[in-house]
Order: sequence, then C-alpha cells, then structure tokens
Amino acid sequence: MAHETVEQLGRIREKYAAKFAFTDKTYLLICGGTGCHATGSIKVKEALEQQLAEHDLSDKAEVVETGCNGFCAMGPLLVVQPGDVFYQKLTIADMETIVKEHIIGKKPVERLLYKDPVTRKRIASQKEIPFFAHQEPVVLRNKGLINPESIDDYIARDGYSGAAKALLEMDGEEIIEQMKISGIRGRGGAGFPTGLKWEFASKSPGETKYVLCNADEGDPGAFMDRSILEADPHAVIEGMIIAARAINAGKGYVYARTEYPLAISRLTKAIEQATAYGLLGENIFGSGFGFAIEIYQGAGAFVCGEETALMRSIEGKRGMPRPRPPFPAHKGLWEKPTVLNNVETLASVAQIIRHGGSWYSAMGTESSKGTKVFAVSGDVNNIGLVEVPMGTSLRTIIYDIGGGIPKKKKFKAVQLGGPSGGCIPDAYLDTPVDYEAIAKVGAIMGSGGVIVMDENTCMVDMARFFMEFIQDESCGKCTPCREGTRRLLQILEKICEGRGKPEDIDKMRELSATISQTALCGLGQTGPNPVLSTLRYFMDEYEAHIHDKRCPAKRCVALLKFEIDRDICTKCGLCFKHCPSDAIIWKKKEVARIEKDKCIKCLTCYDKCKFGAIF
Amino acid sequence: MPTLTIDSRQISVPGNTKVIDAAERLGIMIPRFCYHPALGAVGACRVCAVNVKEGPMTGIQMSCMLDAGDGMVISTHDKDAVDFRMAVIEWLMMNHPHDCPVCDEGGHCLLQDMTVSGGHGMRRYPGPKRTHQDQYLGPLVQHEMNRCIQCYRCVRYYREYTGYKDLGVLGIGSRVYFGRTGDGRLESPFAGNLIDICPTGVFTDKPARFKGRKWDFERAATVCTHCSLGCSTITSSRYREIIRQEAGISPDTNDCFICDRGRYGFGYANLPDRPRQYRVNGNPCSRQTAWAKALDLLDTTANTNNPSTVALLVSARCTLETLVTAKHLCHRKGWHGPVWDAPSGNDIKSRNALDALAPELVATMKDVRESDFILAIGTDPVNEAPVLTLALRQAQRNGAHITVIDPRPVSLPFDFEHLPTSPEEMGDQLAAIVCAALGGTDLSHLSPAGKAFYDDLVLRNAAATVPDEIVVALKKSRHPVIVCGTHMVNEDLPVLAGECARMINQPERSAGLFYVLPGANGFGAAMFTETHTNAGLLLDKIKSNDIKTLIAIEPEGCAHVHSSPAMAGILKSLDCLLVMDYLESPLSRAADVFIPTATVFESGGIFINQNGTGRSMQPLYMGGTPIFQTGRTGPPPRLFESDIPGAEHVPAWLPLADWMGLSLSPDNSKRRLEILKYTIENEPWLSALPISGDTGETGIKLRIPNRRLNEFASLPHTRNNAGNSNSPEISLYTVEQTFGTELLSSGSPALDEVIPQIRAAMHPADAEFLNLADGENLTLVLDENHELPCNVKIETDMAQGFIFIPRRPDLPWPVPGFAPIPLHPDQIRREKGDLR
Repeated sequence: MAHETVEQLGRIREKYAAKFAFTDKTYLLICGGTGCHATGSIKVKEALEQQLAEHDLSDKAEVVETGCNGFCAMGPLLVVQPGDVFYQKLTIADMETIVKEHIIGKKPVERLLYKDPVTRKRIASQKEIPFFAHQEPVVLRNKGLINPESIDDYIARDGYSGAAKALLEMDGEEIIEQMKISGIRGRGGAGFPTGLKWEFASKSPGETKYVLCNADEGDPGAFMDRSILEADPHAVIEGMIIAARAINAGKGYVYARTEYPLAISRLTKAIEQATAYGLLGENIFGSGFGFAIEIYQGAGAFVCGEETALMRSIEGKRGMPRPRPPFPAHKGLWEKPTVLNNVETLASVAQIIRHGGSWYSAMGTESSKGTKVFAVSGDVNNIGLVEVPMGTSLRTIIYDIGGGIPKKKKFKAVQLGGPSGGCIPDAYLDTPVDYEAIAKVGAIMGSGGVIVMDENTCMVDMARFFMEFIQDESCGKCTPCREGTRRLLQILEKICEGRGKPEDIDKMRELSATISQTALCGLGQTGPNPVLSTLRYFMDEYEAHIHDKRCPAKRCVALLKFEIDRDICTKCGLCFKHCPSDAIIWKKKEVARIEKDKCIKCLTCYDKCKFGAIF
Repeated sequence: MPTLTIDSRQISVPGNTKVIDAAERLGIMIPRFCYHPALGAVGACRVCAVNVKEGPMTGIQMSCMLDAGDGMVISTHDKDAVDFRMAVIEWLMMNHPHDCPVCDEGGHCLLQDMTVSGGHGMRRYPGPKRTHQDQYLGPLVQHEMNRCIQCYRCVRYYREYTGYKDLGVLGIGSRVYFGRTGDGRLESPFAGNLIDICPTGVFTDKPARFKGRKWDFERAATVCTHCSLGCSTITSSRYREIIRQEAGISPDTNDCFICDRGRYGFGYANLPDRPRQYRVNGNPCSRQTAWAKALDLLDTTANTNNPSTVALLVSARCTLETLVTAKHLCHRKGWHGPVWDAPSGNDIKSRNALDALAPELVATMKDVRESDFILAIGTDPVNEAPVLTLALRQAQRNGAHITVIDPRPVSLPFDFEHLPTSPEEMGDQLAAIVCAALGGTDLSHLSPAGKAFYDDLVLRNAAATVPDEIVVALKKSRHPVIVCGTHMVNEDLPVLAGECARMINQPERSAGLFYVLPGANGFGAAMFTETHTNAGLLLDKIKSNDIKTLIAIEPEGCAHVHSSPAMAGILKSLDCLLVMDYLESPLSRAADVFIPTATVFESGGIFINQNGTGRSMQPLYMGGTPIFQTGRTGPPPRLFESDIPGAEHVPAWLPLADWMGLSLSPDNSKRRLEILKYTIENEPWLSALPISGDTGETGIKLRIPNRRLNEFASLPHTRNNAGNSNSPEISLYTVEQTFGTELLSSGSPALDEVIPQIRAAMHPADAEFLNLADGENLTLVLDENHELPCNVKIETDMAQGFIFIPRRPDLPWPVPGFAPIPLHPDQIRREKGDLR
C-alpha cells in the first residue's frame, strides 16, 4: 500500500470498530510500558497467552500489549474488556486464576483488584479507581487501549484523520490559526504559544525547513514523553506531519535519548508503518506534500533538551546551546527555519485539528488551555502518569489522584519542573496547574515532573541534590552556569556538612541572582531555582543547619550524632531489627544503643524509628 | 548606519556591527575572552557584559552578541555591568592557578589584564581548585590545562576556523578539558596559533619557554619570508637571539593567523654555525681584507676578461633593495645577470604569471576568503603557501565550491574536489571548465584577440571532461578566484590561468586571480632579474668557460647543487667565486671571498608578495652571536670592545652599492633610507612606496606593470604529449612540503622534529606495476653518481605516472634546479632483491 487514501483509512476504521467497542471478543489489555516491563509484564503476558491456549480460548480472547497504562506503581497491570476490570501487581501464577475464574467463570478475581488505601475496599472498574477517575485523557486517550505497534489500531481510533484534514482541507495559515485559537502552549516547560512559534517559522523565508520533536526528556522523575512515545507513537508522527504542513517543512527529526530503547523501537516501527501506508514520504494523501521523519538518538546529556543544543547535537556537533536571537524559527537546524516541539505538544496537535481549536481552548484556565500530563513520583502512594485539565489544583493531583503520602507521614513540599523548577509547600497546594499561577509561587510548570516529598526530606539536602545535578549537566560553555553553579553547590555542601556560615545565605542569593540574570541558556538561568525556592519557603531549615548545626529532617549525615534519646525511645527494637551492620545493641524493655564503630551511617534506623528518638 | 550612544558618546556604525566592535571604534575596550574578530561571537565567557539603558532589550546584555541598533544607549561603566564583570572574572579566577611568575604568558596575558582592569583583586573563594593532567602536544606547543578559563577559543579556532579535528573539548560542566584524546603531536600545521589565540597560558610557545617576558624583548612588526604570501608577523628577540614569532594582523593577507613554518622558521638566524665572519679562501679575516680582496678580484677579472664573463646570482630571498641594486650594478658594469636562482623553470613561469596578472584581476587573501568559487590549479596549498589553506577554508565555510587540479596528493582539512591531473593535461581541464561555464554567455563584446582566445579554449575543451558540478558552481558564482601555482605547471599555464580569469570576469561576475610564486620575494625576483637566462643556463655557461666569475648573493638552488658530485667540477672552472650569505652552504664554503650578510631581522627590507603588495620591515635588532652562544664556553669575556661579537654582517646591497660607486652614509639607519630612495627612484613602478620605508600594516599595493593591459594573449600551443602512456618511465618530481623543503625554515632547529621522513608518493597502479608495497624501503638511482634511499607511500588521490619526493635542500640531485628526472623501472631498486 504505497499511497493510502482517506477512504482506505475509513475502511480500516470500520474493520476495527468492533475491536474498540469490545463487542467481538474479550480483550486482555496488558500494560507493556517500561515500568511494567521492569516488574515482569512480559513473562506475565506469555503466561496469559499460554493459559488461553491451554484452555482453547485463543479465538475468544485476545491479549493486547498496550503502551504505558499510567498506574506504574501497581504493575504489572491488566485491564479486561469489556467490563473495564483492572488487575494489579500480577504474577505469572495469577494468570491461571484469571483465565479460569474471569474468562471462563465470568467473575472478576477479587483479590487481584485495586484496593483503595483509604476505604480499604476493592474496586473492580478502572474508571472508578480514584487515580483514573480524576483524570481527563486527551493526549493519553489511547494509552492502555491500543497496541502501539499497530498502525491499524491507531487509525481505528480516528488516527491520521487530523493529518488528512490538515493536508486536504486546510492550508498552512488555517492550521496555524486553529493552533492559535486552541491556545496550546509548549509542553516542554517554557510554555511558549505553539501557534505563534509555527507562525514565525512559516513566515521565515527559506525553501528548506525542519520540524523537530524533542524527546530528550532529562528531568529526574519525569517520564511523560517516554510513556507517550511508548503508548501512542503515531500521535506524535501525526502531529509532526501537521506541523510540517503548517510551516512547509520536508524533513523532521525526533531527538530521543538512547536510554529510551522501547520508545525508540516503537517509534521506529511506527515510522516504518506510516511510511508503508504512504502517510510519510512523498505526496501524502495525494496532496502533493511530502514529509519524512528520522530518529536521532541523543547520548543523554541533559542540556541537549535545550533547543539550540539539541539542534547542534543533530548537526553532529557538541551539544552546547547558542545564544538567541536568532531564534530557531529563523535560524535553527543547519541554520534553516525550524520548529521544535515537545512530544506532548505534538501528540495534542492531531486532536486540535480534528476537533478545532475552540474545542481545546474550552479546557483549562484563562491563560493555560487544554490538559497537562504529569509524572507523579516520590513520596506518594500512586506513582504514575496522570493527565488533568489545566486549572486542576496540585492538591487534587497529590491527594485525590496520587492517593496522598504513604506511611501516614506528613507532606512537606512538591518539586515541580525538575531540577530547575521550584518547590511548593503545603500552604500553596491549592495553586491550580497554570503557567502563571505556578510561576507566582516560585516554581515552573516544567515538562511535568511532580516529585512529592514528605517530612523526612531535608530541603537543604534536596537543593544540594538538584544543584549537583545541574552542575553535573552544565555543558560548560558559559561562565555563570559552569562556575557559578559549582560555587553554589560547594556552599550547599558546606552547609549540609555543618560548616555553613550566616553570610553564606547572602552569598547564595547574590550568586543566584547573577547566574539567573546572565547565564546563556535556560539551564543556567533556571539553575539557581532550587536554592531560591527553598530559601523562600524553608529558611528555617537553612538556619537550623547554619546556626544550630542541626538537620531537622535528619538527612544530613554530618549533622547527626547517631545517638538515641533515652526519654523518647519506646524500647520497641525496630531500629535493632533493621540495622544492616549490627551496630545497634538492644534487649527487650531496654533502650537501644548505637555502636559507632560498627555504624555505617545508612540512616535506616532514622527511617524506621516511628518516634524520632534517634538524633 | 545605526547611530548609538556608548558611555555618552555617539557613534555611527555599519549595520550588523556588534556593540563590542562599535565601542572599540570609540576606543572603549570592553573586556572579552571568548570573542575574537576572526572567530566571531559565541557568548560563552559573559565578561563583555554592558548595561543597555535604551534599546529593544534593556538591562545586562553581552555586547559581543548584541547588534548595534539605532538609538541604543549603552553604559559600559554602569555599576551593574562592572559588578557583573567582576563576578565573572572572580569565577574564572576561582580555578586559575595564579602561577603567573612561572607562566610564559605572564606579561601579555589577557586574563591578567582583565583581572586587573575588571577590579577583581581580593580572593574570596577558599575551596580547592580543579586540576587537570596536561598533554604532550608535540615540540611546538606546550599544554598547561590548569590555567584554562574555558573561553573555547582554541577549539573554535582549531576545528571551525582551520578544519582540523584532533583537538577538541572533552567532558562537560566544570570538568571540560581542551586537548586531544591522548598525548601526541597536534596534526595541524597551524597549531602554533593556539598560542596567540589563548587568552591565558594554556597553550604557550614551547621552543621559547622560559626565555623572556614581553618587556624583555626587542619586538617589531615583521613580514614572514617563508613563502610568497608575505604574512604579517611580530618577532621578539632577546640577547641577540630571535626568541619567538607571533602572528601579526593583516586583513588583506593572513588576517590573524600564520602557519607553523612561519612561526618557527626563524631559527636559521640564531644557528651556532651561521657564518658570521669574512673569509678569504676559506680563512677568517677582517672585513677590510675581504672587502679589498673582493674588489681586487673583480678588478682583475674586469681587466683581463670581458665584463660579461662576470655573473651575478640572486634569489627570491633577497630584499627588494638587494635585487634592484644588483640589477643596476649588472647594467652599469655590463655583467651577466642578475640571474634568478630558482628551482627549474619556476623563474619563467613566475614571469609569465606576472605578465598575465592584470591589475583589475589581482586577488588578495581577503578576496580568496570571500570568494564563492575557487579553482586552484597546479598548487598544493598546505605545502606551498600554507596560510592560503586557511583562506580557502574560510571560503569553504561560507559555502564556496573549491576545486584543486594538481597531480600531487593534495590534502586539505575540508571538503573539496581534487582532480589529479598531469601538468600536461591541467590546461585542458581548466579550459574545459571555463569553456563550459561560459556556454551561453554573450561574448560579443570581446576583442578579436579575446575571441581568438575563446576559440583556443573551445579547441582545448574537446580534450578534457570535467565534472558538471564544478561548471555549475562556476556559472552560479559571483566572485570566483583562480589560484595558480608556478611549480607543478607547464610554462604556459600561468598565462592560460590569467586569461581564463579575464575571460570569466563578466559584468555580473568579478573574477580574481591569485598566483602562488616561489620564495618570499618571487615577485621582485621575477621583475628585476634577467629574463633570458636562468640558473641552469648559467651553469652551462660556466662549464663552457663563458662565465669566469660568479657572485652569488643569498642563493637558493645553486648553493646546494654543489653537494652533488656531478656539480663539483663545474665550479672548479671558475676563476673567482664570491658568495654573500647568512647561511652556510657548500657554495659558501667553496667561495674565494665570503661576505656574511644580514638576515631580514637585522637589515630590514622590502618584500613584494605574490599579489604585488610591498611590505617593509624595520630592523628588529643589531644581530651578533647570541649571548647564549658566546657565554656558554665559560665566564663572560672580560675584554671591553665597542663592537658586538659576530655582528660584522652587512646588508647584501651594501657591497653592491659600494662596487657601483654609490656613496652611502656610514650610519646604518641613514644608509637604509638612502638605498631605499635609490631603489624607488630607479624603478618607476615602485614609486608608490614611501621613501620613509613605512608601508603600514597592510603594505602598499604596487601597480603591476602589465605588458598587455586588457588584452588577451594568444596561447602558445605547447601542449606536448610527454605523458605518453606507453612509456614505462615515471617522472620523479621534487615537491614542496610544509616543513623541511623551504630553505630558511628547514634549518630551524625547532622544526627538526616535525619534518617527516623522505617518502616517495606514488599512485597505487604505479606501485602495483613496480611491485612495491606501502612502507617498503627502496633506492632511487638518479644516475651513476646519485642514489636516493627512501620509503614508498602509496597515495590513491594523485595522478598516475609520477613519483613525488620532498625537495629537501640537501637532496643529492644530479641536475640543476631540481629539474624532474624521468625514471626507468630499472632505476628503482628494492631494498631486498630486484624489482621483479
């Protein structure tokens, strides 16, 4: 099928309609995201297929390996359709039970269902699980549903109809107009209006232009882009085709990090399939427009997520940013006008075109439209991928969807926007997800990493950790970022080691101001944010470190005495049981004691003691 | 022309000027590390921050990245800007080792200047400094990474500007390292520029290490004399020794960079065995004795023989003053010459080149850099005129199409098209390209001679096929330049190249012509030597006893052919041999009277480069035996003398002027101006030269006396089929190499290590025919008396039917002027056993 027409897409849609209404047979949708692969979903899937074969059910039930379902903490996951039954934390042994009881017996297996941590009740239907109930999947509409390695599945879910519309019914200006109406802003973090970006590139003179997809997701704790590529690669391809049409580009690159092998392999297959269907290549839909996509694998440098560094990297040069202007819309890849969008942005494009810009702008807040995907991780019960409309409060994300803080610990702060973002304390948890509102409280929307921290987190140590990351990943080009962040890190290290001085706070403020004002690229400009936002909300912790030589969260090893307070100790022996180096001496009804020469300062006893008796 | 205000002073600058440059025009030097005029701006170091008070973006901005805009108001000394710059310098100094007392850069270190001027004097950082391992980068450049302030100038220069890849950035963040992947000599013959470009002491001049500070040196602007380009240099000397050379800045020639041959080639002036004394019959004597003996000999000869039996030999390393004086001396005395001692045939080719060099076509290096199409024919830039490579590279970076037509295995550090062609066929290829590109062009305005020339081209065109993309690129080009060599070409090629340039010079396309000439003053030598003779013919005349007295002034080829047994007899038939030189050679050792001459560093002088730009050099120092040499035998001498030891040398023109009867002042500097005046007054076309001798930084463009202004030459149809494919003979050519072949620099001890071993380059088909393998040792039997051991180097990218070996000055060569030798396979002897 070299040249697929719109009618042919329609025939595929009809052919597969039953599959997605789940009317022809039972579908066993097993999650094949990286998270579930890691917890053993491949073997579980094989066992399930084997069980089906053994019970001669192969034509009545079909196993589908989907992309990331989103509820990563509960993997391996299985959703049985029809019925929307959600199974979690599966083992190979469970497969026999599911086949016998559910497929044959038509009765869900109670013990494998999701158990609400609050109500302690089992919930059968996926839709009713709070984690899913508060979400509104737009970008992730196909997650956990289609086989990402099948273009037919994607087409059956209205795939490539946006591209068909864009190529056959609209011209570049109309596409850009719809993008502007939609109000979508770049999901990579900076939030630049996508329609405007495309307009600049389309008006920029030149015959050769490029569309780039930034899949160099580098923030610690962020996995939105990876999950989208793993679950729905064609959505990104379709978005790139529409973007290319809008600015009249003939070539596109997906810059993906080598550390995402599954995403790359699925995207590679998707590009092959789309090319075979004539959806990429020359004369797409007979419109006369041609577009090709190539994957460029990055070696994992954080700074290559910065747009100008990313382009240098594709050019085969050292991935270092260059000052703007000129902006990539005028001089980008190989000095040609270039549009660079994040995976999530591009994955939204087809639906905006299909449903119209105003459909999209109906969601969200005044200045931030549509939905946003977050990767929720850290000290939270429901670790996973969530998509909510803009305007949803952080509290909803952390407590309603995320299920709150485990082990009855207290919430301390949430880090938004990765290492160069900022932390938001409890007092501001009702802040809605909105570019401006988040910036107001000292963080950035960022690409969507949400790291939840409980009371056991030392905020000075956290700032040190992120500063270490930034300092490690600084490309080394401009002086403020290269030397300034190193100096900031050194001061933070000093404070964590109890050698901090009162004047260090001012020094850090001075350094941070200079760095953010004058660093060359976003990495350096936002680099001091962890310091600034922790200074803003957790000054007391800095003061405790500097003046009292004390770490309130008991994380900074140099400030801990590794002694047990006799008055607080309840003689429970938990510390004794968990000590890996037999450094704790304890007998029943006696206060425990730490032998310092055996202690390896692993902090396990601090974690285990429920009473805070160790200081 | 935007007008902006910087520090309350207004200035109008051309569009696209950066604020940092606009400020410099006002004399405000904004601090900078990464910014360099030749490398452009990258905005890395952040030390050029200024405060933009009014403009599209106000606040702290990097002045190197900021285009000067109309109405901008900028403050460079605003507190914010000053504080920020101080912060950046403080950051940079955090890791800098403060080893200025033992650092060679100390004294002309940009970091020192900026640290002091930036106001950072008190160190606040108490922590450890990051340290690095240094690398061995070869004998010329010393590496000291701890001093690095990460301005990226080195890699931008090395990789982007020159195109070499073996130096780069490793690591990221504060661990960035500038070096190679491992120890080893830097591959680029332009690596020495790292020393100039590094704002601190990461790369320093290795041979000059620990030999002095900038303020210890006698320093002067000089002109490089190691090829015909005439690059600007700055030379430093101390204790009667040349210590180092740096690149001077000259937009029309070398821009900001020179090659390592030029940088380290000065060593000949310091050599311990440099002849510093007058000699009669090989015995040291006083100046008066030698002077009298020379006069006596010349008188005797003139009395007993016809004056035409006296011949004067000069070379392209002579200054303009020497060449002009020599010419007029010969005319006045009726002597034979002056004869240009150039490698075989190069003299005629150079004269042909100058004949064709129409003034409107003359291209400078700047024109080459800005060209969009370059056709280099019969030249091997890296080896013959190294800095030309850098100019070609800049053109290539800007998208120019570059083609080299040459039989040699030409290698350049960038993408270009090489057509390995024998000298016989090069003209046809050039004709084919020009002819095809002119197809469809209206040539009705051409004169009859022009039309006849075009018809000739059409005829020659039939004989060659050339790749289409070259023709297409030439058609599209607006500023094409034809670069033509004078060594590996037929005699008519320079004319053909010149006329082709004239042909493609259309209203919509301004063509340039750029010749590469032999020697520093090849232009002058071609203009002021006798046209119908050459070194080979001169030797024939000596053999036939037509010449009885030879005066050799700073000779080139002839000085060294004497070492070959076949030549030994020739000079014996002379009655009298007078040699003036600053180099010791077999010829100088055989001289009846030897007069030590001054190097250009000692005498100064004018050189005309290959495009006719006259550049003068002031004397740098008095000369004399370096103190390092006089003092090394023991305690310093306790004799009080007014003379400088070893400084008896005279400029080569001085004895000539004396013999001619010119009365010159005894004072050195006055005498220099007098001979200059004589030179300018006696050659009308040199009248543009100032009698003060100051030609300025860019030199004086001399009006080239073109003998056929605006008229085409009729082509000499000398195309011969010497490259007969049936002949088993292979032509053995000597060729120039970057290091080791140019006479002056090959004597420089600093370059000893970088001179490659002698290898015979040959085409794989020839090697197969001769049954030779790459790396195999063999002996070339040149004739019954001359054998040359060497090593096979198989080169795929060269013409078939040739063997190329480097033209080392000490090569045993049986024929004068290194003329090529046809070799029969029997003359190629494998080390083990016979060839077949």
